[in-house]
Amino acid sequence: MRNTILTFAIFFVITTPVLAQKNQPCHRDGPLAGNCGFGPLSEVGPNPSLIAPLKPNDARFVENSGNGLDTGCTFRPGGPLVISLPVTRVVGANGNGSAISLQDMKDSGVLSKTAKLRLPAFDVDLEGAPGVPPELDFILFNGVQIGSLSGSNETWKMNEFEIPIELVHFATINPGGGAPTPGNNTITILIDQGSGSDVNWCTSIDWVELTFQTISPVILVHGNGQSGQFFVNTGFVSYLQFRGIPYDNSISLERRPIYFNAFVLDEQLPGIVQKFGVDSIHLVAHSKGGLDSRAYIQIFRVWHPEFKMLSLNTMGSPHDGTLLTDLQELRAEAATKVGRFGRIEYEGFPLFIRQMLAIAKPDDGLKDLTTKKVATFNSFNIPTLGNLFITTVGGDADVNGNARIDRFPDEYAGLRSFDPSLQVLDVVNPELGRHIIDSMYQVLRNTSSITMSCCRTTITGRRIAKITATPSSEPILNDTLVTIPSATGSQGGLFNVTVHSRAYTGAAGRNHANIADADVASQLVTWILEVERDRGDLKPQ
Amino acid sequence: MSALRFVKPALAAVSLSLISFVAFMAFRIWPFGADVPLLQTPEWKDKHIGELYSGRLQLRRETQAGGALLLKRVDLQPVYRYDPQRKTLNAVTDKEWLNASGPIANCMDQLAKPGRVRIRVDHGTHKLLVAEREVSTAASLALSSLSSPTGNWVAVLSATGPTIPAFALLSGDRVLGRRYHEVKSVPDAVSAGKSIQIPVVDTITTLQLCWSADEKFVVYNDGSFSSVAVVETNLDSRNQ
Repeated sequence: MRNTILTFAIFFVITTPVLAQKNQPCHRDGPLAGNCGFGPLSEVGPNPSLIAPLKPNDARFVENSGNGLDTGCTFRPGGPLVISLPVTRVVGANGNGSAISLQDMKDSGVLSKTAKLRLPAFDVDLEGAPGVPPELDFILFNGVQIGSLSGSNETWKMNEFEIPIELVHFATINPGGGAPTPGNNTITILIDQGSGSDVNWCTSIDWVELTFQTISPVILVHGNGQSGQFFVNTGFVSYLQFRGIPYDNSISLERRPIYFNAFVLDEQLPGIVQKFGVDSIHLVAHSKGGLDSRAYIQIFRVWHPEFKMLSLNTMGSPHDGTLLTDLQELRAEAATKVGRFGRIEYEGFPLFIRQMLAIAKPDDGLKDLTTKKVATFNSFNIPTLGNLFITTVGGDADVNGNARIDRFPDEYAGLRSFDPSLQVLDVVNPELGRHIIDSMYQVLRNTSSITMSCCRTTITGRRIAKITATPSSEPILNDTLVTIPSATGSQGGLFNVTVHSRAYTGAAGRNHANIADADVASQLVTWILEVERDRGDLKPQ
Repeated sequence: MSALRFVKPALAAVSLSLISFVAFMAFRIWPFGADVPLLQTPEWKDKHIGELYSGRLQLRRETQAGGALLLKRVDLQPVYRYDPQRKTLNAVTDKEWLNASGPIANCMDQLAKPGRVRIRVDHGTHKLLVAEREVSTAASLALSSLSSPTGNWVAVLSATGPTIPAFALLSGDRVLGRRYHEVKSVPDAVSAGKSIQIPVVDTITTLQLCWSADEKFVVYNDGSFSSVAVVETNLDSRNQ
């Protein structure tokens, strides 16, 4: 019995202080430091805060290891904590490396005014302790103080800071191509700045995450026989520059069939996307470039999960083909059938159409734009476009509504800049130039279909083919090369998968060149911003 | 009378100069001659042009070690066989293709395969750009380029010009003059061997390039597949 009492007494003497100690809260730092046991420290390890960062993408940058992170609770002499956060996205530059003012981008709503910095911080003793000041940990972003950490004893707390976007160092384009040079951002934690020369408090950072909103770049795809310079000449690029929207107009396509150019796009597009360091883009295409882009999407979209196509926006693209190429193809077919000494007659066409067609031989790109070929293309292509955000615009060149194309008022100025031969004609014989453009306009305006019959033979044995225009029941508005119904895909089915369409007619009419001018650019940008805010990098986080 | 004595010789000299100039320009513009023959492919001409799987050309050698070069369109029979010794092309059956053992080069895939550096022709200025740096070509107007399967070389087609602008948007502009094929190293763009003049089918259509898998041949075909020109590169890709 005595032994038992003695044993209990010894046990009580030994355990009481330990139990008393266990009742004290753990303090890793401060005057009450201690009671934290011998287990693994909770402020180190791959994800000690148990708060996971969001998945990184081209608008959210995360650093989860490296200098300054997962250091264990660090006192001022062991600091400061210096964390490097590379940003691999180009913001404030175009594909050619030219700069865009961040202020312009902010003003036009294509770049958030601030970026959000998140970081879980450990054991920030804001409540302090008896006899010592509270913990004060300053945070600097690229050398500029943006605030101080918050938290409480022995806990991880998510800290969030709004940073002026100008403080962020963005990636820069590599002139030689390839991935951009990352912008290096430094986050510095100055630990325990309120204790004077004393060392009281420690802290630790698990990871850092920087998020901002900005528009994805616009990639411009030119039409047949053009180059990226076309978008400069029409003023489209000026508008993008005015709005601070990053763009690239370096796509360069030959006069080739649609599917051929799809492969060329696949050779060029991924490099352009990579250059910006983005995972999404918008395509803006003029004329046949719209069909080339659709073919690219059909074949290659599934092969490039590294970036997504947010929208396809076409201007004057012949989504249902154009009767002018039908006419050229039938003319070529008729010429083969009648032979060298034969004759081709035209019925229902404007004057001099024979002479015009004799001079104008279609190239491999134009040959692909017959209504029949594009109908076949549509049957394969449209079902593959899925939930792509597609917009289209088309125009009518007859601005004054007198059912013809005039030089005064000048209804085809843009077309002349498009075509050097028209420029020359305008100097040598303006009326002839006008007549040529008007003839093209009239063919499209007044014709529903074109047929060819071959051949009747004259007494002398000469073979004669006849190409006949079937009149349309009502005028078909057009930009001199593509009708509005074709530009909006209303017959071949593209219209059914289109989100927005607009026809520029009457005083707002457009020809095949100025259908890509600054005003049209403003319309397309409105639509592009719509999709950006819905599912793009401008979507509120 | 004494002044008239000089009129006839002067007129003759002017006429001779004019004729020489016209002849010179004609010779310069008109694509006379070529270093390789234009080989007709009548079985392919104008068939299914512009359709999804049409125009997809494939090349393969008869054996791993070499032999004749076989040319196949994936959507059409027959296969054509190019004899490098005789420089002739003959139609053969699919059997020869199936029995061949050389690796297959898919020409459209070569188009879509980006090289180590971006190489492109700016069709607005007809300049060849290697990593956005302008590079001179055998003739002044660059028309097209294609990286080789290993990415160590690029085949470049250029023309002496001049260009005739498009007519009223209804036709493409024409690049006249002789066509030259050349091979340049990548990325330093140094010419490998001499440039070779290739025949011109017409001045509207653009020629499509394709490398054989062993990089020993570059094949040019026109848009309607009416003919081809085959150029031996004399490259040894193993040296790169």
